[in-house]
Amino acid sequence: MPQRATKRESAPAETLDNLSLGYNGYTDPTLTNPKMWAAASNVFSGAFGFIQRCRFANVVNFSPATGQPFLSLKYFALPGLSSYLLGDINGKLYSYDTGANYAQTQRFNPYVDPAGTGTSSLNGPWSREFLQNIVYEMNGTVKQSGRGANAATIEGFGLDAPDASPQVATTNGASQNITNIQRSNGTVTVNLAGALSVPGGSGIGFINVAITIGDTSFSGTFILSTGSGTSTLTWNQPGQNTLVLTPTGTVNVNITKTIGRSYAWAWENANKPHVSAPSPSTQFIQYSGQSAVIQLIEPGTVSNSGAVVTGGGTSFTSAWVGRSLWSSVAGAAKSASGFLRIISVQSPTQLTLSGTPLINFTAELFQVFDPAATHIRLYQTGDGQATYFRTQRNAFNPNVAGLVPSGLQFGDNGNSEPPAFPYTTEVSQLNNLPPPIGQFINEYQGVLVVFGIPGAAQSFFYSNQTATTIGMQQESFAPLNQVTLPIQNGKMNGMLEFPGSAVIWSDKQDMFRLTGLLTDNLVSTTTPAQQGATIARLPYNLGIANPFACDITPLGGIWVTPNLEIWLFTDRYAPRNIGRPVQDILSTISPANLSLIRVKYFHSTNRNWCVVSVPANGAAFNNTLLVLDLDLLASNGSPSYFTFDMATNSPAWWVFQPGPLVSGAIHPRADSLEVVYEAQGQVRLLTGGVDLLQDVDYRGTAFGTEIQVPGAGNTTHAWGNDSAFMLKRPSFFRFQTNRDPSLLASDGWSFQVQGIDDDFYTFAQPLTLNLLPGVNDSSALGGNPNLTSGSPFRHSPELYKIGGVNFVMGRRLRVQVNFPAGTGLDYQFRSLQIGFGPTPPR
Amino acid sequence: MPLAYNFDPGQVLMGPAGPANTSPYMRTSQNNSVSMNGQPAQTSVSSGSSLLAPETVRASGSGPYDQAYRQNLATYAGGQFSRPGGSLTFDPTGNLFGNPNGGGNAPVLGTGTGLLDQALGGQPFSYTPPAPQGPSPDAASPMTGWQDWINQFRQNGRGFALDLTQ
Repeated sequence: MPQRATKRESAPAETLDNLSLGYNGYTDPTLTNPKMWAAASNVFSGAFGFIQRCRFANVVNFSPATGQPFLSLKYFALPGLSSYLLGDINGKLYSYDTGANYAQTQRFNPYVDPAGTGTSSLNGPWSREFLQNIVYEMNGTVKQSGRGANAATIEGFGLDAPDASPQVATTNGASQNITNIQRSNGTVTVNLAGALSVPGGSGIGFINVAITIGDTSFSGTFILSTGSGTSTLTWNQPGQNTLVLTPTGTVNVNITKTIGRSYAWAWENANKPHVSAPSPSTQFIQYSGQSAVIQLIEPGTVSNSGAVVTGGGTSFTSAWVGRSLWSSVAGAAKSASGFLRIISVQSPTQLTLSGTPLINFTAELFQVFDPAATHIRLYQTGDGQATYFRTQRNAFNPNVAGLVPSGLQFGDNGNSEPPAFPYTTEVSQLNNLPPPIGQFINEYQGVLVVFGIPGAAQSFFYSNQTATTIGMQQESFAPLNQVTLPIQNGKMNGMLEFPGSAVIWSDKQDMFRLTGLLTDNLVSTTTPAQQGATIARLPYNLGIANPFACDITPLGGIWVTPNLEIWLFTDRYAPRNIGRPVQDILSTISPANLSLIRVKYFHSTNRNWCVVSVPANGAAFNNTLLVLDLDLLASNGSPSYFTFDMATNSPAWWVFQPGPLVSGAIHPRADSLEVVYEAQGQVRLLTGGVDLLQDVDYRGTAFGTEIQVPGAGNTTHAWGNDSAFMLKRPSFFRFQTNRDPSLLASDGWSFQVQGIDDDFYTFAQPLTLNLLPGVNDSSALGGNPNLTSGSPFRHSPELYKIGGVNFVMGRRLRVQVNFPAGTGLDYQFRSLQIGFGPTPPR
Repeated sequence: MPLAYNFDPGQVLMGPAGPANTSPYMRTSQNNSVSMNGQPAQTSVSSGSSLLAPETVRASGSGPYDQAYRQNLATYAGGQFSRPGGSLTFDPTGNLFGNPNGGGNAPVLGTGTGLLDQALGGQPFSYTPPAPQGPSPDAASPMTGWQDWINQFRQNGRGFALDLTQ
């Protein structure tokens, strides 16, 4: 690219304005122009042309202080409620309600830390995505979902399937001949030859009506309404009214099958709603005039001694960690504060609860459950059939003892076959498996993608599209819904959705484009597999630093590579390196801290930024925000070629160093980054530091306490590079701000001119002239500081005459502007006039 | 609670010899034993039910993924296969379970025995009442009924004598 700036003649006075090309530490300082900045901190510019100081405000001061930072933040909004900021700090989870001045609510994970005391398992950074007003979260150790206000109701990410088949106890059936029968207004009344006890009783138990001679419209399986144990039964059946009839037939509670009937069951969370994958199936039961009681229990029995539970004939598994225990005599094992949970499993016959149950149990039947489960669905097949249809559903109440009251027992007296009652058309959801725990979640066209899975670093898993017909598709991951990328020794390290496609990166130098819809990959012997998505390798040899180091903007996707470059990709043209101006800062990032980099797109009124939070200068935490102005980037040509000669034109970057104000100085810290769309409509750019949430683009009207920003300012690149063969001896400098010149001193403005002659005074050690309003400006030196008296049009607090008291000269001149630190105002530097000749113009 | 039994005397059987001596018993549809100890007829009545206990599928091994997902995988893959001994345990990310497939001296594993295959092959779960106790081979006189007992008593020459002189 061309590097030599064009030359032009000097004027008797020069106006330097629109100094908006931002920080440039890349280009040779002898080739740059004063629109670029050699140094900058906490100031920005834009297409509007002036330079403005940042305003910071503390939004949340976490108390009591933990000394730990907010490691990840996520904006989350619910219709009809509010918008929230989710954060994690010191092993705990919080939500801040933007509609209530960031009121803090702690979020409790009932499986890991129900008391909210904090645990390393809940440490961030968390990866979060939203679908259907539910936030899905993973951090590589824990997966969870949150719903409701503040996402405070934390449940599992999906429901684990039961891992034991139902227990089935068959008993002899019973039958009675029909004496007479009648249907009237949808109710059938029958008188039998003798009393008939219906297992399950009236209102629940099934009866079978078999008419061999006579009106066969009465035949079928029905729920008994009244009369169990008597000879007069009633049940509901739509149909025509009849007279009292005397057909030949029976009412019975017998099941007879030629091949057999099999059962399975599943958990349900009706609050979402979601249904788990089914349990293992029972053997096919060849009924012969029998009925059955179906009990949903684990094999064996349990006894407790304090928090230690011992099993007899059991098969405890560590997959149960986090769940709760129910026993037939005590109900759920509980403490005074709620369900106890399984915290460890020592062997197939020993596990440990999180506390001592209030009610002990000895040699009791038991079940293990997720507290989010509200119901149980029972499935069964037809005679010798392979499809499991739902036939019954119970409410699940773990707070009570006994299989029947808790909902863990069903009765089966029905002899019908599908599609007759009680068979429904709903089938068991075999593919409703929860996902494996990974580190990152991404949403792609309504599908959740999980990657960063230990042991499967080159693969991503995606949620169901059509394989789930009952339940939450985004919480169900069919086992074959996975893709493994050909990335040699790399790992999948990032994903970014573009319109109609997605880009996937490795941590090395692999870049792929995913197009189309991720379809379910189901095992089928009859239907050929049809993949709806295509993954193509892109030839750019670019990886990504970490999954949080990318974001989509209106100009395309922007990300940070493992070798610390910032690239832009439009998904139409080749990527462009747009981070050259700040490459010197990026190169100070320690490779061990690539995982800390964060990228976020922010736009609000006249801000259109891509913000990159980095640990500069070898720091172990993020301490610098590199802000790319997208309006200026867009004005540099069509997206097919974001080319810059870097001498006269370059991407415009601002450098922010936000943080708390301690002893009069900012201690830069910005571990996490998020853009929040508040309930009242304001858009804010927030960073998370140590015990602090901070607005780094405060406008003065939103919630928060503004702090002073000392040390803000910039130093332009040299003016005069194009004529460095000439020594420049200016006669005056005039600094124009948005403030009344009479206020410059009280505001705290100051300026400096640096002269470089390439001989004695160099870029490293220039000749410096400090220009202080109220001290050595033309008004102060003329005996009229701050324009309090004297004749106008001859001096000004913003005008500095050079010569005598003030002296500076050089082949190249750089100007430093030091902004005031005060709060409550926007401080803007607009332009600089450099004059030559014996006197300044009037 | 003692129950009164109406029974056909021709159905009284003789039990095997033993410390408790031979005692008559009666086979019922519920496999009960009738105690003939002179007390009122009583039975120890069982529920008459049979039980298919819960059977588990468990994930073994320590391969990739968290334990909960490995268990879900095992349930997904093995939930519809038979479980010898009541538990099917296998590594869901390793070599799966199965029956040898094909011939040779190193056949690869095919698939496990499906529950439906088992049922269709005539091996569903069903309750079969146990066979009645037959006469022990050690019994001195294998008899199957009191009529037979009387006949042998007579044939052995120790039949009932009718004293016509009284």
